[in-house]
Amino acid sequence: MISIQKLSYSLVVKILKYFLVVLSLGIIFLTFYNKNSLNFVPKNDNEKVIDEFSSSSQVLLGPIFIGLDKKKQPYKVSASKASKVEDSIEIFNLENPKGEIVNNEEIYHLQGNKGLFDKPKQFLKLKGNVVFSDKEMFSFETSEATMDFKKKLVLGQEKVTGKKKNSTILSEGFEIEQKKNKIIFKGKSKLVLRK
Amino acid sequence: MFNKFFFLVIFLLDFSILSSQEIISSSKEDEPIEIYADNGIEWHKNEKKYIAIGNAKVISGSLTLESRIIEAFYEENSNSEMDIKKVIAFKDVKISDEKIRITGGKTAEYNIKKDYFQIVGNKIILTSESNILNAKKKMEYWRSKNVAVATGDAVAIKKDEFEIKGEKLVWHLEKIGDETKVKKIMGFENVSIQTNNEVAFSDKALYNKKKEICKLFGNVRLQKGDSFLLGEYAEVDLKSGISKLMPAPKKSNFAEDRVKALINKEGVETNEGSN
Repeated sequence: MISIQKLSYSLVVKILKYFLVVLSLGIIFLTFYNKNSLNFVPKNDNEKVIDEFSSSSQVLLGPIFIGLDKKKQPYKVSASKASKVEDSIEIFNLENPKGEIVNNEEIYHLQGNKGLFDKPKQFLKLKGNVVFSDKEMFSFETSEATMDFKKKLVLGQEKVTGKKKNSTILSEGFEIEQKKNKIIFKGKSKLVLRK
Repeated sequence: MFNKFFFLVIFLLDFSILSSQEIISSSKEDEPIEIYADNGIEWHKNEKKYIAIGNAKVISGSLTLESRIIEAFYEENSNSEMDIKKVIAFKDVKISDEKIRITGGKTAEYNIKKDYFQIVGNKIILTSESNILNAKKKMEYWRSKNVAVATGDAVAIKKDEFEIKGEKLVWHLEKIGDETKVKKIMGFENVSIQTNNEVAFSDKALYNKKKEICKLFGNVRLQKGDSFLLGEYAEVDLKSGISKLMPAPKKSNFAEDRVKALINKEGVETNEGSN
């Protein structure tokens, strides 16, 4: 009688032992399975890359970047929203970006719908309804422009229309050399001065 | 002496009228100025100028100035409005204003307030319908006053009528309806007038379109073939082809300025001894 009891007891223990082994293996499997599932990013067919300003991981709201150029003159870049393109590099996609650079006594402003700000290289690229102005004297509009804070250059390769009080200008591009206080309207150009 | 004084008075009077007229504002001043370029327009803010590069063109009303490079200088008023004061064109200068064309200039400067051009070059040609004015140094053109001054071996030509040469020639144009005609020509230094049948030389000359008469002053020499007449004053009728050689008008020392003639084969009509 005692031996029968011992036998049934050892059987239960054995079954329990195997069950625990299977259970532990199951837990281990599930653990790995779940880990992989955390890394999975569901693909969204509707999500399309618009341009180089997309795909980012961190978002900043209303950021303001302030720096100094070679001549220790300040520049400022601001936006309604900014997101880092990569974690390790300080390159930001911007929404409604604004750039501001001081040259001697003049302040130039540049704004657009979207932007890309490369902080280490100190340049700001703008796209969509780009407006360049000095607020008081002149302003001109284009679809794309780049502001190089290091070289103190503002460039545009697209059609430009500009205004300054009684004058208007049309051209196929522009380049602003802030050091020389010179604006070059590139390609076929037309300037009209009204009396 | 009187002749010189008389001519100087005419010359000074002419230019004093021009200068005074420059001050009077022209109706053309209100027209916008358009600047075109194929290879861009540079705006030099410090120098207050625009540089149009490549097939550059400035248009204001009926006036067109073309060149390879054009610089336009402006001034700013208190409202930061720009007002172009001066335009300078470099290389292959061409100017057209209604029926007037000026070509061959190396450089040209246009003073907008005075409405005045100064074109420099060694083969400048101004044409106004059938009239041509050439210069080898400089051409000045008072646009709104219709006056052109050619300097340096200047030649004024009217097809089938005459050719006037001189170191300096002053052209007065007038607009009658759609036509632009030469009203008056003044010649200075080594002047010569060639008509269909003779050549006249003098120090100075004055041609009047209305009377079709060209008056010659100082060291006058009328030449027809190998024959010539010498005197101090002459009148050449370009319409009839008759030339009158006379002593200087109201001259005190009559004998000294007596008319001299050398007649060969065909005679030349003279007024020797008459006043």
